[in-house]
Amino acid sequence: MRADQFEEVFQRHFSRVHGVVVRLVGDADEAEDLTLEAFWRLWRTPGVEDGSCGPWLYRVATRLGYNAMRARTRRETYERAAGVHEHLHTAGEDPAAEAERRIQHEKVRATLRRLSPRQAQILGLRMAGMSYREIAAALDVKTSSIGSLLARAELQFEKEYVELESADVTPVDA
Amino acid sequence: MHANDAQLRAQLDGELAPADEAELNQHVSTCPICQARQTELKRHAEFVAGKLAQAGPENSPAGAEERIWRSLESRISEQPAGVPGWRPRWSLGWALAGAAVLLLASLTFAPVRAWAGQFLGLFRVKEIAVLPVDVTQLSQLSGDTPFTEQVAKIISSDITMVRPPRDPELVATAAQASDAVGFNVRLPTSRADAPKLVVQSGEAFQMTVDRGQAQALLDELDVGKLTLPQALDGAQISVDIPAGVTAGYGDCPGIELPDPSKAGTSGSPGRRYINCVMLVEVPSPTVNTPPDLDVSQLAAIGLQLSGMSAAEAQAYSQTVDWTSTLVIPIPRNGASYQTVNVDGVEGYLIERPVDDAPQYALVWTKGGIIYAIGGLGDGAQAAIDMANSLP
Repeated sequence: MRADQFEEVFQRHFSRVHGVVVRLVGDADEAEDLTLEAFWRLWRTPGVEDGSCGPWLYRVATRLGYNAMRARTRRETYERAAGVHEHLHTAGEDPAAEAERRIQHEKVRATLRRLSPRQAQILGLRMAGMSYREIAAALDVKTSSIGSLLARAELQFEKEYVELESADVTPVDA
Repeated sequence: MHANDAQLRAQLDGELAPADEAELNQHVSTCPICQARQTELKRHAEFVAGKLAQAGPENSPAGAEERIWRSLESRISEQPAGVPGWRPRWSLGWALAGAAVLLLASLTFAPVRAWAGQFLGLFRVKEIAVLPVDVTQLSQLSGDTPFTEQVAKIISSDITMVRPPRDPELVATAAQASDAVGFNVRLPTSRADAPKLVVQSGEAFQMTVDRGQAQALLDELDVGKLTLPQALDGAQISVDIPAGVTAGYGDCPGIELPDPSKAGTSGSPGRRYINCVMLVEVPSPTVNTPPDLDVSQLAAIGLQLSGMSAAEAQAYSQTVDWTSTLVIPIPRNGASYQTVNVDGVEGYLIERPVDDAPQYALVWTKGGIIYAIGGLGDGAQAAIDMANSLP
């Protein structure tokens, strides 16, 4: 791929790739790093044709997002133990509301972490407003199977979320 | 006949074709079971959407696009496109075998279940093609079981050995090896040291395809609906893998296949064989299938299993003459390949970056014999030199 082609691909896909990743990891800075990584990998990977750059990017980016979510578990456990987490994240105007928001936020990530990579990917892609056809291309599956894959992922998400909630466990231990 | 989840869920998102939607609506309006299911799916979907929106993305920092592009721009000015970087991680089930030398052995020898022979309908190799596949997805589907075993389970549970493999045999000279295998074994003049020459007996077997079993297994995989052709049921497929030879230079592993339970326990499995270079020479295997079996259709299913979409698989399978091409699957994101001129013909150099033991494999075919040179470390150029020094 030539540099000018790559730039065009970047401009065409940046917002959506970034959008999908930020929805998965829930952290803008981290999403920025991962988006950069996805495009960088595209540049270094031989043989990705122009027409398949989009699906390739979404597949790789959602996978990176999923892996990052899982990797974060350990880091956050450490931060929590050190008391850094609470200090950093309750410094808003309304500390109680901010703390509640953080808890909700973490619970959702913990639930996503409990899903299979593909289930997390499909929810991330759908959340970002992608059509079934685009999701199918990104995940290399048939468009006609997206409905059932999505339904299964949603069912699993709800089950895991409810389980987390009822167990009242620390989300980062997922 | 009730509507399925795929249709009901797609309808919620307005993703059905108008004609399908009208038909579905008509059915659902008179079917209490489908109505109940639809309500249930809608509830799950709303629950998930609500939770995800609640914990939605923080606002993207201003200027993210520009920052990322600037970083990319400075990087791409230093590295040309299509050059894989150094990857610190490598954790695919496919990589259990470790060293590329073992991969080569697995492609050409003992694992009679290799998809090259059994799955893709290889008749007689005249050409080689390299196909990047999404093995991440595949290893996720199949756990850590070697791919070839998965394929064997899918295609047939009834395998009769016609000519069972014998134990590999160590021979002293190229002349002895040539006598044993029935073709002229060539050794490179670029190496001064004597290789360890091992004759592999090859083997022949027949299998009867059980379409029902194969279809049931396919249905269990999360890859969308794949339907095997009816002609496959009871089809007799016979495979004959001729005797071949491996020439191991340096400190090489045994010629037996790697034991997956022992592989990948620490670091790169092939690290200890860093100075091993292995040359494999084997005549093309032959495969006989019933004349009415559409091999490209089967191949397309195999390609979808390996992560391609139906359209891609269909398109690719049409471009390959499956009766004469050995298709070597490589990980889409973990390996690179290029064509090179070796031994007077065109070959493929496949490289996989692994942190402490990068792997390379050089594969070509000439005069009905498949040749492969594989090893670890920075030996790709030496492999090409070796190939070019074959008498």
